[in-house]
Amino acid sequence: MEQKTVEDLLQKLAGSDGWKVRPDGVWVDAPALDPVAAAELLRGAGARLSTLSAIAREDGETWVIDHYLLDGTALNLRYLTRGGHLPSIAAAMPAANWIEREIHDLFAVQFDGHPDPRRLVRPPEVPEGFFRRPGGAAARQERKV
Amino acid sequence: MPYRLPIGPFHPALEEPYKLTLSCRGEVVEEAQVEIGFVMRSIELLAQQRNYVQDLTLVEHVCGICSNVHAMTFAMAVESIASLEPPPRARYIRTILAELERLHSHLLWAGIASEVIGYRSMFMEIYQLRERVMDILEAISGNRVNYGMIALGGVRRDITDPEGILSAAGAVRSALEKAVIPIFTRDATVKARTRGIGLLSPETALAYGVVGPLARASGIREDIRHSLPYAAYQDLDFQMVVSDGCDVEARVVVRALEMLESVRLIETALRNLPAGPIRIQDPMPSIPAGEAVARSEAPRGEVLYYVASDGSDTPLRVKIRTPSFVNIPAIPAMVRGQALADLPLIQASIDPCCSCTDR
Repeated sequence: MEQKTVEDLLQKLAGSDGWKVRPDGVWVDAPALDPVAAAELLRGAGARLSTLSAIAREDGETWVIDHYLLDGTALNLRYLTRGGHLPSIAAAMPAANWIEREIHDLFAVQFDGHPDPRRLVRPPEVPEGFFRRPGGAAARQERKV
Repeated sequence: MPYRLPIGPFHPALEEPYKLTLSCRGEVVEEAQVEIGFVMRSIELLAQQRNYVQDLTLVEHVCGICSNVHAMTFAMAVESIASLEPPPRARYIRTILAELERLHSHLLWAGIASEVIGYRSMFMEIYQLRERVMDILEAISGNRVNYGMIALGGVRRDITDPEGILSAAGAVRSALEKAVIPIFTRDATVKARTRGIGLLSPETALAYGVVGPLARASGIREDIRHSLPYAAYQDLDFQMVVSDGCDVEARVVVRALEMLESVRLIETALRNLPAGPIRIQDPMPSIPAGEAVARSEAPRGEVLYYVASDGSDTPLRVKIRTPSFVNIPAIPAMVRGQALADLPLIQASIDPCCSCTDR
């Protein structure tokens, strides 16, 4: 796919200036963008979904980054859950099926409309969201205590 | 009358735990469900409680086979956040290690595939050859599996005898050309056992997001060494191996030919190994606040690391996406309508790794 086509897609996804080009790819901060519409558009263009990354916030919400690869261009679309919910893209993009189940297990994000929302990796005796623990300096402090 | 057949978590073909529940009619598989999570270690969470240098060792334990690629990709993400540039010699050594690891992994898979096919003499031939590759890895790193070679901003040990390694790599290439490649690409027994089974169309492969040799055997022209080159791949004229066969035979052929390309890359990198330092001066560089995604091509396909930093010595978030996590969900699509007796071979053809998948 030509670079122009990637830019056309980004225009459709994020408007004319809604993305940033970084050494690790194109980043779109898209709290208002519909993840399902974006997934359908990208799948139609031949993009592959690599995975989703979840980052827990202190306010109980979660950043979810959809990592795509389209003809050598890495696309990263960052969404924010609302009340712990986010629309599932698994029906539009089957590659999201397992990772949405995993994020539900580890971060307690509810992916609304997921076709098969069963437990994936969480041991049954462990509560959902057990990865919502501090990292970084807070984890360092905890480690020293 | 349809019936349900549970297989696993302990498997007839593979020594790693995942569970398949099959719906069969007679000898034909109608549907399959996969369950994972039997060896989950929460490595991502542990990585967020250790410092960056400790994490290099931790992430090497994501996988016992492709251990180096995890440390390297984690280091690439951290180096991106901190704008650290490994010296040229380090980039070449990382490439040599990555390709030796691919050889070791593909030979391990080829041995298992030979056994599943019923070709015991080939199994023994391949495992003997794999030992030669392990010897090279041990000569370079001092270790046979977890190499401990990756440092932030470079590598920990130099290759001090490139000529000796070059000679050993040449012996591996000769053995591949003499025995492994002809058998895996032309042998009638192998073809009869692998052709036309476990089909995965390009459309289905893309929908599931499968990666690595599994994707390339379904005609998908993607390899991170080509799409987003890292280490020294942009200097080495990397040649991607792709097949349109979409079946187990195509996966066998792609992996076999990839082994030859790996040896060529190792030989080219050794002949052109730049002089100079093998790592940046600061052994424990400060990592500023920021985030980065890094991708590399592990033996089984794309590995992705997302790392976020708050400026402390401990990562805020480490996300690891291994190739088997996206390849294993495609098993149901490959076994639907297939003979039950072909199930072990179809599973083995994706080279699944549960240690990676569960992390």
